[in-house]
Amino acid sequence: MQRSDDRAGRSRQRRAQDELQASQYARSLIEASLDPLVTISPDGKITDVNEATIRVTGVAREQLVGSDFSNYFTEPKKAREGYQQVFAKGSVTDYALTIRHGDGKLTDVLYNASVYKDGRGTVLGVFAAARDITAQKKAGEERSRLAAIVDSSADAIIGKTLNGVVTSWNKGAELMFGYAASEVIGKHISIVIPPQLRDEERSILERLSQGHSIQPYETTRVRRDGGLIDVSVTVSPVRDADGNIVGASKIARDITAQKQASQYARSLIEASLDPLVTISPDGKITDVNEATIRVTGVARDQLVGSDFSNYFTEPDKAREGYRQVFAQGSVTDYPLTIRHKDGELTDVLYNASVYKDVGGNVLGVFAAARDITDQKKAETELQKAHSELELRVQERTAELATANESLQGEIAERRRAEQVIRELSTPVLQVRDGMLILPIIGILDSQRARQLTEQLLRAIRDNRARVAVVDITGVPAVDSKIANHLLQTAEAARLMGATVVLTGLSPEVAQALVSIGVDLSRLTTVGDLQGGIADADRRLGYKVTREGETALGRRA
Amino acid sequence: MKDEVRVTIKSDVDVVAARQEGRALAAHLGFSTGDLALIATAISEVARNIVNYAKQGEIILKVAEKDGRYGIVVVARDQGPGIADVARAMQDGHSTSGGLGLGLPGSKRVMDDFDIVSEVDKGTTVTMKKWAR
Amino acid sequence: MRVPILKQGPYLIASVQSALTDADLLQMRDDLARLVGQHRSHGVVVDVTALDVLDSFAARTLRTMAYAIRLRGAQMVIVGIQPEVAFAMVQLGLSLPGVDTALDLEEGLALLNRKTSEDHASEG
Repeated sequence: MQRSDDRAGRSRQRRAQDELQASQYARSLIEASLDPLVTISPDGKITDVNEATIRVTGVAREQLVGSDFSNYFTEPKKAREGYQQVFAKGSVTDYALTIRHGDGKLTDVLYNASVYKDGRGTVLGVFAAARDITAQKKAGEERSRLAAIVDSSADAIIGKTLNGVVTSWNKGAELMFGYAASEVIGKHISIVIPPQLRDEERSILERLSQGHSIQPYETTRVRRDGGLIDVSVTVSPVRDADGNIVGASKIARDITAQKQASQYARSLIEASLDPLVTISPDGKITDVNEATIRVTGVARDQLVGSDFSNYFTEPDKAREGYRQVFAQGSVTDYPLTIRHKDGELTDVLYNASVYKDVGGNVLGVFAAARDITDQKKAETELQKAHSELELRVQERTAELATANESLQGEIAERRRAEQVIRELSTPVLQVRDGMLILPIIGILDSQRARQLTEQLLRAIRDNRARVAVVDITGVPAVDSKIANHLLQTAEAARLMGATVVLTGLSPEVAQALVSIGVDLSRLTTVGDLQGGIADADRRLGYKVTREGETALGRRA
Repeated sequence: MKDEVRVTIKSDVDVVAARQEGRALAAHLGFSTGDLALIATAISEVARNIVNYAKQGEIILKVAEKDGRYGIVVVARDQGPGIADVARAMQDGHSTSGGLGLGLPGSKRVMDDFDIVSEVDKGTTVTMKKWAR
Repeated sequence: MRVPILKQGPYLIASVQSALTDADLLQMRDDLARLVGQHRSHGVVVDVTALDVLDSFAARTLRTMAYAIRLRGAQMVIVGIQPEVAFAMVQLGLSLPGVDTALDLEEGLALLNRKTSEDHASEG
């Protein structure tokens, strides 16, 4: 009996020990959990908490236990409804709440909770485990933010596999190529690549998959409607979590307008009567125009790559000249003499300045020469005229004064023309007496627009112009700000007594400007440059043919 | 060049003096000729406001500097009757002296900063600033 | 300083100097109105080449002057508004609607010749 009693006592003891061990084990697991865990009594009081709960609320254990569970949330009512649901239904999953820390910090959590019962099945309370989803939420927001950026980009952003199959296609791509995302995802990228350029695409994807980085490049793409567009492309690899390259992301920017503007600039450069060259930092010619070919008698392909200093009577002085430009940024009126391969000499004055890439790095020197052979002759004549003036001052004062005046005028005229080359970016050209032409090329920001206005108004005064034709064919985007600036320029010109004729404004852009309230009626507009010049001729002709201008004007 | 120039405004002759001083200071600070005309015109407008409404006051011209850039500060101050409705006075076309009513709003448009404080029977202070480019 | 006014044939020429005060401007307006009547002038050239500021008061006075002179049967043309002054004016919202402008004195006189030849036999 005693034995059996002993036995029974031992086994009870062991069971109690086992139970204690099991509950200590469970307790340590609970404490070790990174998720805030609590138990809640049927009246909503907290009955137990773990370390994580203390951390996330910033409240001590003894204060938490016995307090209302709902106290620790931004929405106490919703918290109460949560545990009431658990008591009613037995459990809830992924119930979203926000815990408020004592110092105000918020933690987004999802609760999973269930009731726990005693051995007889009586509900004792709710066991609730919270999972911190703040990081998850942030990641989700970051993803949607990036997606929004990709979506709102004017650039085409395209994802593709290493085999060239399209995996993503943003709005910019839809607009640029004319295909909707749904039409191209899963298809091969070659639908937007002209047939002759498909090898280029293959080799780029190949090099990318081997881990080579790809420099941004310019190429041509074909739209859905068959039209070709010039694009500048940046390709970067897409890697999986292990760092393996699994695809490519490509950003394409439409540079058609930019290219057209640069072609327009190129044609102006070619049309220039002045020899123009660009020189690399080591003194080699990198580009020339027709006038340079004429004045040296050397073919373009021979000029390019040769020493700039080769073509002058004083090579050392020529070298010294471009070195000065690199050192000081620019030189003006640097005298040199160009030797034609047949021996003919041309006296010129060089105006040169460095040109830079967008990052501000000097790429080379742009040099414009002005033939001053005639000017030199004119100066000699002027001097001769002066000495004659001294000899026969009494008898010919009047005549010589006139001759002198016109020579001075000629020289001043030439100086003004020289100014044109200095301002090559926005040349002001005098094509006829009283008429100026301003071909504007490239993007007009407000500072450049202002500069342009000041230049135009001064040119009107200096050239005594009565009509100025401003051609904006080469301006890629004309918005209301630029339009209003042009209006102000026209009004200022009128105050000076001159008329501005605007050309190259497309009917669509004009319509858009009028619809947003720009008063174009205050501006004289003519479709194209040719029409503008004709209009200007009419204006000047009308004034010239009337008698009176000479009747009093010249004599006054 | 002094840091501060004060011009007492009592008549239209002083208006001319104020804008000439302002132009000289701005030229010294390296403003473009286009900006010089704008600054001189704006000074002319605020100085004339003093003559027309307050009879007497002063124009203070100062140099401003920030991050190596220079600017001109023009303060026009008077102890005149003040402006009852500043917002209305700043609308294009408003004038109580039969003018075009473009003086103040026009000046505000062409300067980088423009601030007007006015109290009835106490006076008006206009502070405007423009930075050299 | 009073603005000097010269008689040149059928026209009057007013040459404004740099430091033009409001009083000088009003004086010029009154002088011109009087002289146009006295000489029965056909036109007036106001030369503002020397002016470095044309503010709202000057713009308004020039406008009313042009209207007043037209009412007396003559034409007025403003010449020599400098580029910076013109640009400053438009930026401030000042303009001279309905007032004739020309580049310089020579152009201004030529413009007056054209305008008045319709009304008057050539008297130059």
